Amino acid sequence: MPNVFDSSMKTKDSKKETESMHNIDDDHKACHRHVDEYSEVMRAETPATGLLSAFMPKPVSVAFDNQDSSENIVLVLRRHPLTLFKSLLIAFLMLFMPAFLNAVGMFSFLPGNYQFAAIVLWYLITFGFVLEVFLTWFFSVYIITDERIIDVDFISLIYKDISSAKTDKIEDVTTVTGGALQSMFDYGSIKIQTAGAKTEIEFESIPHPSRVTKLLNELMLEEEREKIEGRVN
Amino acid sequence: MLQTTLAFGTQSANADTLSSLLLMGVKGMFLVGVLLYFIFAIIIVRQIHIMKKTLITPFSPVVLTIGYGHLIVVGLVGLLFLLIL
Repeated sequence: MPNVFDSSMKTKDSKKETESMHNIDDDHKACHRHVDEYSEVMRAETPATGLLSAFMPKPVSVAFDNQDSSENIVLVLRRHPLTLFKSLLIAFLMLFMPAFLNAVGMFSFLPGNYQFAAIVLWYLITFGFVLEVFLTWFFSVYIITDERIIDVDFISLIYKDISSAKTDKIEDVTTVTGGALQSMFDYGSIKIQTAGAKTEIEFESIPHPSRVTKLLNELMLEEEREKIEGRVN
Repeated sequence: MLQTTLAFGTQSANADTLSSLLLMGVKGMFLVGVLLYFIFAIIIVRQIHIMKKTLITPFSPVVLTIGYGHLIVVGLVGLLFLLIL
């Protein structure tokens, strides 16, 4: 009888496969040190539990698509909340637009039910605008793992761009902080030159750019150390 | 005198027709506006579904619920417009 029909054989095979997978994972974990062991920046941070933060070190319950089982998220970043100020100001002004148009008497030629419909539609559009701003902010993240950096750009509702680069492919990291607001609230951009297909990855308007740059340098050093000590799989 | 009254009556009827035509045009614009907004709301829900898989957080289901709630409200507003306009 061919083995294909032997369920016991199949179970044994799958068990072996699972065991070997676990061994690979264990080996991988043995090769990798925990980020706290080599990063001064991360040692000073406590694991983030808030999910609406722009700076989330060692997040407890965040994962991403295509994440390896042995890959640990070190830091998740979003744009600084202050970058939303302009959009929120527009939304705030939009709230008062119906009252303003009513005072001017712009829609006075329309019957009452039409005026009511116009106000409802206007507030719906305002809510839609706020929702889109929030979604763009919430889903546009920069993820730093102990293996690579990932830039998820949720540019608009119909366009997104995801790019990543291995830490050992990073060639140069430049921090850009300009303007009174950025200096005062400690946020800015980081330009990361890589040797990959996409030569530059930019983390725009992120909080604590100097701390992030220091962390990236520590991760790059650790990669070097792994190569020298032969801890690379 | 009779001629003036008749002329005034015809003018008034014309104004009524014009006004009802204008209102019909405005109603059409409202309905097209809501329809376009409904499509926008569907795109939002679809996009949240995709991004939920890209970035997995416990807050993503809440965002999805907001997206669906928004879609339902837009549908109800569309029905309301059909009833009141």
